[in-house]
Parts: sequence; structure tokens; C-alpha cells
Amino acid sequence: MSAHTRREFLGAAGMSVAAAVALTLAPGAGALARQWAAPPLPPAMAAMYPQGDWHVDDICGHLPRYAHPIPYMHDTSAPDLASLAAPVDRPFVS
Amino acid sequence: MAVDFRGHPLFPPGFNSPTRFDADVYDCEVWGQIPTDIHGTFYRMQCDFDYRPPKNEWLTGFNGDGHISRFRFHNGSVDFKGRYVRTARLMAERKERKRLFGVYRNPYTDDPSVKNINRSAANTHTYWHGGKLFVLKEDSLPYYVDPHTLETKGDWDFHGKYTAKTMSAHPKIDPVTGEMIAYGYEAKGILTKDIAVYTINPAGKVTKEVWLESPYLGIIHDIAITQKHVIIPVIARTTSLARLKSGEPMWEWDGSLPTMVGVLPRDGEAKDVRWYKGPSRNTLHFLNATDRGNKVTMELPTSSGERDPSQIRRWTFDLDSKSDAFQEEVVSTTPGFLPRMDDRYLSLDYRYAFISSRVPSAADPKTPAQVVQRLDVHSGDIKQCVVDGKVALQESCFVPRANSKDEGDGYVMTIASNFDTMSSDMIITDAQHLEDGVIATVKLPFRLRSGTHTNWYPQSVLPPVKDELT
Repeated sequence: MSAHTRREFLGAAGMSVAAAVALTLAPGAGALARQWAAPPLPPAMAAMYPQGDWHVDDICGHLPRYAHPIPYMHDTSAPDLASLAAPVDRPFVS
Repeated sequence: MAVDFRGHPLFPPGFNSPTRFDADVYDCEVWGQIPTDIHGTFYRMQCDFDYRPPKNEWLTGFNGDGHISRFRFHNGSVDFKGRYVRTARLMAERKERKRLFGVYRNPYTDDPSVKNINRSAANTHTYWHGGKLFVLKEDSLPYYVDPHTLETKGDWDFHGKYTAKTMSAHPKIDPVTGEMIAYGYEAKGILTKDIAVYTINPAGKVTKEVWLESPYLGIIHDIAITQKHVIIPVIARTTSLARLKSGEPMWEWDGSLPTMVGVLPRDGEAKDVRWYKGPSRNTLHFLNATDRGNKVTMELPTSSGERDPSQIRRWTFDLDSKSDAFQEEVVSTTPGFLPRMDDRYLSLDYRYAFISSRVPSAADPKTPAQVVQRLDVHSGDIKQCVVDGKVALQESCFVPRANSKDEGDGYVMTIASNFDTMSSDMIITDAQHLEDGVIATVKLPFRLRSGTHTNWYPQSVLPPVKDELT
């Protein structure tokens, strides 16, 4: 990392910490709660995480979840396999 | 009785059904061209199931038997090998041809016949250190396996010098010193609040041991290190004897508990640890931490509550402050559950995280698109590669380009569950040009279940490869 970007980062981090400390010290402002508040997600992103549907797999990055049924594993509406097969294979997929 | 998984809530028909086989694929099919400077081995773990678990098994797969995948790269070709870790637990169950161990980390639900058998499923992570490839599960000591054949060698206590009963699956390797900073929680046994932190030198010898007491009995799944400190977060997912005796899996969320973070000087002792306190946060895995003068910063994916969306945030610990609070800010709203980095910069000043993520699809905002992302933790900027098809991406792993020392110069390897083919692919992208798309795909002729963690080791640090054709 260049010294320039490092200075920028440390400056920004310092400002952020200073702002948070200022909030904490503000008299009667409920500052601690505000200090921890996170900005809301974009609506489309929030829709991916409906309340009540949370699962521990979500913080382990598993998609689909271990116990999530996958409806598209076998497409029963697929066309006749024999028509897709090479001629030499057709006797085996009919 | 023969094995039958039907009707178990953990195993609906589909991609995550148990695979239950060892596999070898010599010279895998590859679409595209693998850069010839990729020379080494990618390891990953998955939880698989040889036998049907109890009906009240928690609906997660983390109690499955450890199954290790090895993708070995050489001159643009890949050889795959997959093996169950032959744990004492697995072999005991195979001998009886039935499940003997109960629900997740609850020995009260075990068959009495396995009371004195190691419970480790060895299913979470792999680390090469001190000449051994460790396979880790946080409730036990590590197993180790041959890095090429994946033959299980046994469990390991570092010549008796690692006296704790547990070792987490997330030790940290200091890229400057080559030391492994390992730790165990519930280190004196189940339900104990003891934490043991070890420094293990590059030769695999324990050189330092520090015992701490956790503020409460919460999960300590991961830690972070800087050059000067070990950061130990205790998360509000807790347990109790009553819970275990009732037959439930180990952990439950308790949002009334605070997040406690221990900051331990690496050259210090137990008396030197300082505990910081904040609101409950749901998190398991941490990206990195850095010393910044009299402060320590740490980036991690976390949620404000159990069910809130995950974001990448930065926690700042002021070592000079008289307050026990730490500060928090949002780095990015990307839901990067399993962020990885260029591990050559672990514990140091760094810039990039590599994340398998999902973002709203441009075509249908309710449908997530699968993306490999590079997050700049300074600016929040993201570059990404959208992966086509009905796929789900597992944890990414950064692979440095040969002979390059610049952070982030290399490749990203990611296993994709491909639901179109019901098989697994490894996709390879250029870490500095993700927007250019996938540069190569390794095609496996079968599926791998959802995995846990991945690691990459260049051939230069591994033992010589024996010819597998003979």
C-alpha cells in the first residue's frame, strides 16, 4: 500500500473514531445507541433476508442451506432425452 | 440395519444429500486455460454423513463427517482427490454400521459405547504448518493427514505440549514469523470457560501458552491477530448444562449478552488481556486485524442481531482509552459471510478482501446473482465477477501469482455448486481483473456438498509429489 493511501485510511479511521467518541460524550443524546446504528440495506438486498427466515447457515455462507430442498434438481418437463443424444447413444437413453 | 437417509429433515433430495464416497479424478476436465504459474494445492473441507444422525439434529450440516478435497495444480492441469478423514468417530461407526454419536457437540446424546472415543468429526478447516496438514474441528485436538494422499495419520497434541483439550479450526499463521497462533476454547472440557492461546513456531514446536477465562460461555469460533496482539471475540451464542442434558444441540442465540472482545498482547500473559464490551453481534468469521499506533482495528462480517443482514464492519479498540467500549463502523453492506484475503498480509496493513457473495440480480431483484467480489476495505469499492447459471458459490481462496509480492496479485479459486448439472465446478478468476470473468473452470463429474473452508499452499512449501500413476 502506498503511504498516501495509508494516510488517507488512517485519517478517515481517526475521523470516524473521533465522531463516535463525540456522540458518546454528547449529553442526554442516547448517543451509545446511535453509535451502533448501521445504515439500512437497499430494499432489494433486504428482500433476500426476510425476517424469520434466518438460519445459522447464513453466516457460514451456505447457499443452498444444508437442509434446503432444491426444486430444480431434475427437470421432469425436459424433452425426450433420446432426441438430444448422439445416434450411437440413443439405445441407452430411451 | 442398512443406511437410509430418507425422511430426515437434514437431507431433502438435492445437492446437499450425503455423497458418501472417496474419489480420484486424474487430469480433470478443464474449460478455459489454467495459468501455468499456478503450482500447488487447493484444499477444502465438507461435512459429509456416513450414517444418519439423530432426528433432532440441528438443521445445519456441521456435525457431518469430515471429507477433504484436494485439487493439485501443475502446468495447467489438475488432479482431484477426495477422502473421508478416518477419525476414531467415523471408524467406530463404520465398525458398528450405524450412527453412534448424537447431536452437534452434545455428548449426552451419544451411545454409551463411545464414551471414551474422540468426538472430533474433523470437518472444518485445513492448515499446513510445521510439516503437517492439520484437519481441524474446534471441539477437539487436530487430526493430520498426508498432504498428497490424504491418508489419515492420527490426532496430534504437539508432542504433549498442547495441553488444552480443544483447538479451534481458525488458527492464524503469521506471515512475518511463520508462527501459528492457535487457541482452544472450552479448553479444559465441555462447558468450561477456559481459553488457551498457543504460539507454535514454524517447526511445529509450542513456544508459548497462555490460559484465560472467558467472560461467559459463548462461542469463540475465530480470532484475529496483529503483529502485537491476539483479538478474541466472544459471541452471544451460548449453551448450558441444562440445554445439553435436554438433548439439544449445543448453541443457542441469546441477544441479551454483550459481545466481549479480549485483546491479548502476543508477548503478554493472562494478566495483560483487556476485555472490551459492545452490543450483541452475530458473527463467526473474521477478516483481518491491524495495529495502528495505540489502536487495533479489525474487519469482519457481522449482523446487529441474530436475524439481521450481515455487513462488513470495522471494530476499533483504543488501547489508551479508559472506556471498555469499542467502536464500530460499516465498511461495506456486501453480505460477505466468509471473507478471505491475501494471507501474506494477514496481521498487517492490507487493503483487499475476497468474497463469495450474492447480490440482487439485475433481471430479478428477488433472485440473487452469484458473484466473486474484491472489496477494498479502505474505500469500500467492489469489483466483481458474476458467475452465470444456477450456481451457488462456496468460500473463495486467494492464490498469489508466482514470484509476485504485491497484495492481491494472483487468482481467486471458488467451488461452485452447479444445479444445472448437479455437479461441482471450480472457477478460477484473476484477482485483479474480476470484471473480465472466469478464466478457467475445473469440471468435476460429481457434486461436492456445501463446503466449510478452503486453503491454498504452493508446491514450494509442500513435500515433493510422488507419481500417482504408479
